Amino acid sequence: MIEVRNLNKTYKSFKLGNASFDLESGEITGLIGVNGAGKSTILRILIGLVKSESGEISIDGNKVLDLGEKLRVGFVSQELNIYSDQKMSALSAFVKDIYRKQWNDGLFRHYMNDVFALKDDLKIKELSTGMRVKFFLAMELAKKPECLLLDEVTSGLDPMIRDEVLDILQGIAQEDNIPVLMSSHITEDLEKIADKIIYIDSGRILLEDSVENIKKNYYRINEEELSKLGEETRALILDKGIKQHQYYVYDASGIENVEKAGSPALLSDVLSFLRRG
Amino acid sequence: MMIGYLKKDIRFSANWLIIVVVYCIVAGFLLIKERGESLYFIEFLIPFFAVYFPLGRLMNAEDSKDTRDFLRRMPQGACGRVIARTVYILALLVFSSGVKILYKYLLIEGYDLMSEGKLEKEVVFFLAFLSYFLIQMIVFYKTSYHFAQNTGLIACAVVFIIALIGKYTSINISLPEVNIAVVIAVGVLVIAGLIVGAVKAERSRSA
Repeated sequence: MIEVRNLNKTYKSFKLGNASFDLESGEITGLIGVNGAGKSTILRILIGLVKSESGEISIDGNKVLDLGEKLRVGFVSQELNIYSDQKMSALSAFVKDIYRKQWNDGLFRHYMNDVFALKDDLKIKELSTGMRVKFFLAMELAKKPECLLLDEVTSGLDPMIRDEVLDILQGIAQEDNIPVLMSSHITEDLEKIADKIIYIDSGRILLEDSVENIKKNYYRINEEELSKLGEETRALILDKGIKQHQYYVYDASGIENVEKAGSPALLSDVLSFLRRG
Repeated sequence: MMIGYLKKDIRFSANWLIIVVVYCIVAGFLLIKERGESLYFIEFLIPFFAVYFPLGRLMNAEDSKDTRDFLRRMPQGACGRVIARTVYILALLVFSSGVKILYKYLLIEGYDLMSEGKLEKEVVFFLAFLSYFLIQMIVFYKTSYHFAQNTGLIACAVVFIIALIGKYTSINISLPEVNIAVVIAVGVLVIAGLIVGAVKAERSRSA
């Protein structure tokens, strides 16, 4: 298990404050928040690209400076303008040379040819966003990562390819039993595959809970359903909940003696609730 | 892994390396046949551009945050990359200087590398170019590709002015007599210092 405790990092116009969370093997953790909330900063601290001012990262109880110290970390970000004048074959040959022992060429070919249907004679700059994500993901997976960190990789993908990539990620987390931390601002993606959600806003983690618990606790209810409730419950929901479009969102676990009425809230509703609450 | 970085530099600048080979062979022949031992143009133009363009190509490709982060996550990081890049520069300088000396031997009547301190001067030029390109690397790591390339333009301008002064005035611009052992010792120390500086600069960028 990966434990992250009290990470702090201050930039001119942004502060990551006491970020703490856990990552479990075989689980996909969704790191969600608006642009500039601190998702990328957390990921960059975890892979050692940014040094935190304080805080601890530990793997199975052993403290490390970054995850790469003990684990083979796979990392794919949305920023994939890497050696864009080179062909995929040249770039993968370079990565293969560097990661000699870790690199599994058969696995790389499998992802490239069978899973992603990519021909490696194209230059990076000739690839669409989706193709780039697939290519860099194939390279990271060929290193047989023990932990996979993904920074907004699905942002620029069309819905069909997004689903395809999400299925692959889910398969990897489960089959290889590795922790996957995936940052995104697309709640639908995380709702599909995440086991746990970490919600970050303005550098502060506001929620860390399993998707199951979130669905148990947060509800949405429309005016019609609300009107059928008892006076006291209705007043509590109106008082503690927020109005989101045509319905109210509320945290049933945060209101004493309230019956769970309505339907489980969508992740986007929960995030709005947390943000506005 | 250092070999991996070196292979990458060679592979990613392959087109420029072909141009460098053609340039050294053609320009070296034409310049030396035309100007004989006319010091500054020949000593400068052949090795300088043989390294400047392929090195610039590599720096340009690595002058983005995405590529920098990609490289920084790799094992043997800064040290492996700087040493590989130094070997790459060294190889290009050895090739271009070798072609230059070979042409001098073939095209200049009575040229003898072992006489009149010529070998010493070749060593001085070689070490000076290696030092310059290491400084260019440091400037690149500290700032950006454009700043690094601008140092090349400044170097060109300085050499051009010196060449003009030498040609149109009576000032005798020539290298003083030097002891080769001292030159090599000082050169190695300077280059070692510059390599350390380049590693530090590489580590510090975008940290």
